[in-house]
Amino acid sequence: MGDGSPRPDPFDFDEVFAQHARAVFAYALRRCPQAADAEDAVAETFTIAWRRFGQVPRGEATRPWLYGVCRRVLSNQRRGEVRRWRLLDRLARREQVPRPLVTEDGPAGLAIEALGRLRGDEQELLRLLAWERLPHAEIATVLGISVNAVAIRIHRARARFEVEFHRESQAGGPKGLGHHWTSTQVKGRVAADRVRERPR
Amino acid sequence: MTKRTEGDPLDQLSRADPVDAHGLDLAVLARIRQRSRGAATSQTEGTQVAWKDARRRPPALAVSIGAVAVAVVALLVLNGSDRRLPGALPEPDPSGGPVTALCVETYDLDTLRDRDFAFDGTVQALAGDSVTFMVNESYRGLDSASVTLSAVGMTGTIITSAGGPSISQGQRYLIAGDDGFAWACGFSQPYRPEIAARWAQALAE
Repeated sequence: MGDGSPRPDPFDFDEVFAQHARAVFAYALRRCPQAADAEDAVAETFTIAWRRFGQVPRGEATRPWLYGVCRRVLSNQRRGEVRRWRLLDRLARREQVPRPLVTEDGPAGLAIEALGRLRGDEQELLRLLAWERLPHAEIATVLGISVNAVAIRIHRARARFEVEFHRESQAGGPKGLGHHWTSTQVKGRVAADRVRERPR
Repeated sequence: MTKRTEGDPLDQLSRADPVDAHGLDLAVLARIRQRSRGAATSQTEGTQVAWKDARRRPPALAVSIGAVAVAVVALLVLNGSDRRLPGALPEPDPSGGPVTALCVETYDLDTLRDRDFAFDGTVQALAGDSVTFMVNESYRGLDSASVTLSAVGMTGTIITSAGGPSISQGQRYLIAGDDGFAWACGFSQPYRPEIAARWAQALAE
């Protein structure tokens, strides 16, 4: 066990997994260009939860704790991907990385486009608010910042998001800029069959 | 062409959620559970890394990538290049970017000068996260006798690990912030005459 915690009762672990795995997997999918990367991240997240089971907070605090772990796992995963692709790019002089695509029309597409124009930390605050639907206190847990800072930053991020949204609206809508999701993810959502097939 | 939009943009963002969590495959979740438990009970980190890499790509490709990586590292050491090619991913920004600081900003007199308002006030009313202060002295940004602010994390409605004072009815505080928010982390603190004098001096300059 990684931190000296006693081995968890498998039934306790399975209960935590059953309650939260779907939400954590959705969290990861929303932030990964590839479903397989999301699956890896969630598996690693629950591996950490297993090893540190004694530290996993219970009740309402469990899910934001798991999101926070998954966030760090994804961060490490992405750094590795960036390094790998950058090295390959420099040597091979090829465009290997999926290009950003946003093709959905309508207000939802405008919202995605506007979100992509914000800073990364602002994007994440709004994702946690709009997609994970977390209250401020739980967002604070995920990000490891004070709830006061969350409230202030969300206020600012929402203001900037609304400016960008209306700017996009005036400009005529999405143009496929500045976002890493594939058109499949944005237009059709991440479908169960796409996850099931395991693209790699 | 101008598109017509309706409702709160954040509602539109909610509708643009790219994942249908209810449609996720239970078989995939079961596979994740097995992977997690298997990895956690394996004896070494090396076992996990080997297993994970083996799943991700064929061995020959992994070897090729490794060789390429070594070659490029050598090239970078030689020429120090950091140019980003077309198609390369942006800097690491997987899920939030630089949201690392516990507070919005570090408190000092310089950052205090950047706040929209700062004052010496006494709490008249508390309602959830909203606090109404009677303004004893405004150092910046207020010209009214009282002001109501959001003081999230300082009113006892949410348990918080860091931030500002626990604001109480009738008590006197030094308060600073922006956009109707009282900032924690030193920008709001119990009133002390010596600190108030520093605020007054700093904000008068």
